[in-house]
Amino acid sequence: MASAVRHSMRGRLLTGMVGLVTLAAAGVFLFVLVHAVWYAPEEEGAAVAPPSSSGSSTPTVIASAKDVPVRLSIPSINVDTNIQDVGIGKTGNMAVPSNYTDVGWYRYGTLPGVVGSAVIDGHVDNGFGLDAVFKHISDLKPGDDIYLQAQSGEELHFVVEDVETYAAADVPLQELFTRADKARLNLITCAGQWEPDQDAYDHRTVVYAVLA
Amino acid sequence: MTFLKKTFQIGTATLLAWTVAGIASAQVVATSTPGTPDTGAGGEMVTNLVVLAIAAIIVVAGVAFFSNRSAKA
Repeated sequence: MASAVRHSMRGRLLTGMVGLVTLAAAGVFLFVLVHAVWYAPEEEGAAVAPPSSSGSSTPTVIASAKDVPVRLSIPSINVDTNIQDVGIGKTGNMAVPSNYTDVGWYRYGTLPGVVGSAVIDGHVDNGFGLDAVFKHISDLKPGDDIYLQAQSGEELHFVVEDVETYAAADVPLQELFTRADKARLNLITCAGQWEPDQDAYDHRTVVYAVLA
Repeated sequence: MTFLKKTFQIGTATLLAWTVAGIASAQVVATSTPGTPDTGAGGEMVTNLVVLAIAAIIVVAGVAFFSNRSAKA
């Protein structure tokens, strides 16, 4: 009798444990799948002051909701996508959009269409190495068109001026974020080889465009 | 008394170090020019595939266990 009860208890315990492990594995499977192909949010750091005391000549522009860019279109590489606004990640780098199909506008920088450098980033690939939204921006050439649509519906037309690829440590950050000679739009994504130690690619491609 | 004084000094030094570290880390974030974004995840492909495969095997084994059990019952 006691042996039968013990046997039944052991059976229930085994069933429960197998059930738990199966559910946990299913959870891990779903999490990794979603994170790798669709949703990969980056935790952002503290808010920053707008660039006013850094000595740069970039004008400080307070964006109203209607001025905020919401859509990016680059016909020559078949990009037509939503724009998220992003800040700064925990590491002090520009944050990235929360998925592989949208792009991110740096909200502490310049508003597109205003004199200064508006910056938009986008992923080059997802967690399975498949193409993401900015996979082909290195194919852009001077003269190619880029269109931005603001929340108000207003459309801005930019023209590619230059495309450069730099080692990650050599990206000219001042030129990228604070050059203020024209109304500029700079696109950036990863390039080069994966560095496992850094958990990132070792180069960056930057597309410099100016308002047409 | 000496012990208390030493403890106080160490405590003050630690607090000062934390404060300096806090200010330093805050300064990293509070800049108008951030670092370059990390806009790629392709290098995680192998890890992701291995984790997915192991998780899938465990799920299949678990489902097989329960199917077998209900068939026996």
